[in-house]
Amino acid sequence: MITKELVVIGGGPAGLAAAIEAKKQGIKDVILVERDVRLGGILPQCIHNGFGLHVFKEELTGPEYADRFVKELEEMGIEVMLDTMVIELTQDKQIIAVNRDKGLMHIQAKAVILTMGCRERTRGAINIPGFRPSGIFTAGTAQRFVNIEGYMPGKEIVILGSGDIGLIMARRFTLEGAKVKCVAEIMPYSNGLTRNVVQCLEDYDIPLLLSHTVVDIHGKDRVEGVTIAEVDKNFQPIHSTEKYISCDTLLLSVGLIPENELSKMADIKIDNITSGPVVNQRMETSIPGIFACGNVVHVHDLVDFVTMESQLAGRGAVDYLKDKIPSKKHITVSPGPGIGYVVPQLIDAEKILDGKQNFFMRSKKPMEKARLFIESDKGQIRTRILQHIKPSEMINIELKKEELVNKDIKSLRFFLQEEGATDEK
Amino acid sequence: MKSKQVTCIICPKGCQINVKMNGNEIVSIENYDCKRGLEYAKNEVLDPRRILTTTLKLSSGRVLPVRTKDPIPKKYLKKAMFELKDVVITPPIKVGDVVAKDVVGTGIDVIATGNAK
Ligand SMILES: Cc1cc2nc3c(=O)[nH]c(=O)nc-3n(C[C@H](O)[C@H](O)[C@H](O)COP(=O)(O)OP(=O)(O)OC[C@H]3O[C@@H](n4cnc5c(N)ncnc54)[C@H](O)[C@@H]3O)c2cc1C
Ligand code: SF4
Repeated sequence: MITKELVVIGGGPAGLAAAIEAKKQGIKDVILVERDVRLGGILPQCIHNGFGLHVFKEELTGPEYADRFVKELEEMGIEVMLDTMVIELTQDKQIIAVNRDKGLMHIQAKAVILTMGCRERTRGAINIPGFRPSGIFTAGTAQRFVNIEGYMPGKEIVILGSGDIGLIMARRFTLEGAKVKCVAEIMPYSNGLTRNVVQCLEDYDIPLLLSHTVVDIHGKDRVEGVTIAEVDKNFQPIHSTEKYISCDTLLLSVGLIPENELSKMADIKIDNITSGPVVNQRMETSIPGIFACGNVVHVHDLVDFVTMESQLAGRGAVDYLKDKIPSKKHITVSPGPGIGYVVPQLIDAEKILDGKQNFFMRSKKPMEKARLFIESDKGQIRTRILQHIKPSEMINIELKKEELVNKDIKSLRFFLQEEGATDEK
Repeated sequence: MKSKQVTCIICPKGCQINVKMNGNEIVSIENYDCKRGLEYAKNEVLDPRRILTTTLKLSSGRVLPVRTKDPIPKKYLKKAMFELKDVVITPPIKVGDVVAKDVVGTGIDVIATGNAK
């Protein structure tokens, strides 16, 4: 049995930032375990620009963003185990990892940070009828093929779902000489950032069909075409609008799910809405000493926020290792009308770091203008007007420690009221 | 007179800004909600530019991610892709190294965004 003070599971941007921060704050015995042959998580395949505007105040590509952290990690001499998969985690922080050289390894950690990221929803998760010919890929898989392996999965492409990865891939395929026929999105609005709709679709005259979905996939061995249709308010296809589009490839960009097999194994409490662990003010899960950050907690649209959240987790782990006193007296945080979820879900106000606490949340639907209410069981804390709200763009609210501490607050709720709309609280 | 529609990407509001042009001159700009949008729309019609990101072949197999060091005119994106199509890079190479000079005569270089040993 190997013993370690801190084990970080997953070497994406979350794991990198958490490990670096913990080491900076004085934890010497840190190890980062990554199942891939290189560090960076999903970033090495995200070769487009648009990363780092908040953290570095410049616009980097995914590989460049990862490179900065990998360099820092190496300079600090943090131990890394690549090509090593963690297959088991217990409540007592025992870890079983496996790789080709060493076989099974048992590691006893004093603290653990979970940064396993997320994976893509696949076709099964959204149930399209038809055969299962080759030529159907998730957008992320296609991204990996083109940007890492260097080969093109198809020539004529239809994309289902307007998530950012799908939009980015529409541009990538077009530049590589393929024809992207359209992007079909079942919602009446795009799920990607406006910037991506403009620079990836409009720039190349690729049609974005809102309120549309794929109702059938044609072809037995290889995709030959798809039938798309408009949907009504209840997302049911309107048959009279069905249209055949020939293509050899269908890309699915229909969302991501946090990868929490290990968390569940350790009986960590999972939030039903985010599908990630319930965390407190220092990104600690329901098991003291096990922390989580990045996409494994909730799906982020900007990697910059992943980094910020992970630095917090790194510091949280250091605090835990120093005093071993678990957080008590929690304020429970919950989403009210208009809000999908809020992270963190629990706050120990006494232990808020740096006198301020960030809350990340998503709206349930787009709103031009709305008032965000922050309310506790002891009364209203604050309200704030927000403009141009979209579910695809995360809302980040900072509260001061003074606003929460010493007030005997038990619960905190965030909700949105559209300006001009009637009271629906 | 021609009219062009520009979607502003500076903030999430995404104003649909209307620009009226007479040849290469801007006659009027309408429907923007703030000054930043005005500036953006001006650039978008007079000299739209983008950073090009793509991959180049590595002599060792697989590919290397690269980008133009600065944004290049939008109309040259495809030309640049064509010019870079047959470039093969020999490792070792590290982030920031220049891998192709003066793409499409823009004076702008292409740099590596990844490492290859
Ligand atoms: C396919 C895909 C494409 C994306 N494209 C974009 C984009 O274009 N633009 C953008 O802004 N954001 C994009 N994102 C989101 C962005 O990359 C994330 O916000 C960010 O990478 C999250 O960082 P992370 O460290 O939490 O997760 P990840 O980057 O996913 O890293 C998690 C790491 O953990 C490792 N791991 C998982 N389980 C284990 C285990 N059991 N043992 C050992 N290691 C393990 C994985 O191999 C991986 O390296 C994308 C996400 C995905 C999934
Ligand atoms: S014009 Fe101003 S308000 Fe409108 S999208 Fe651009 S930056 Fe936002």
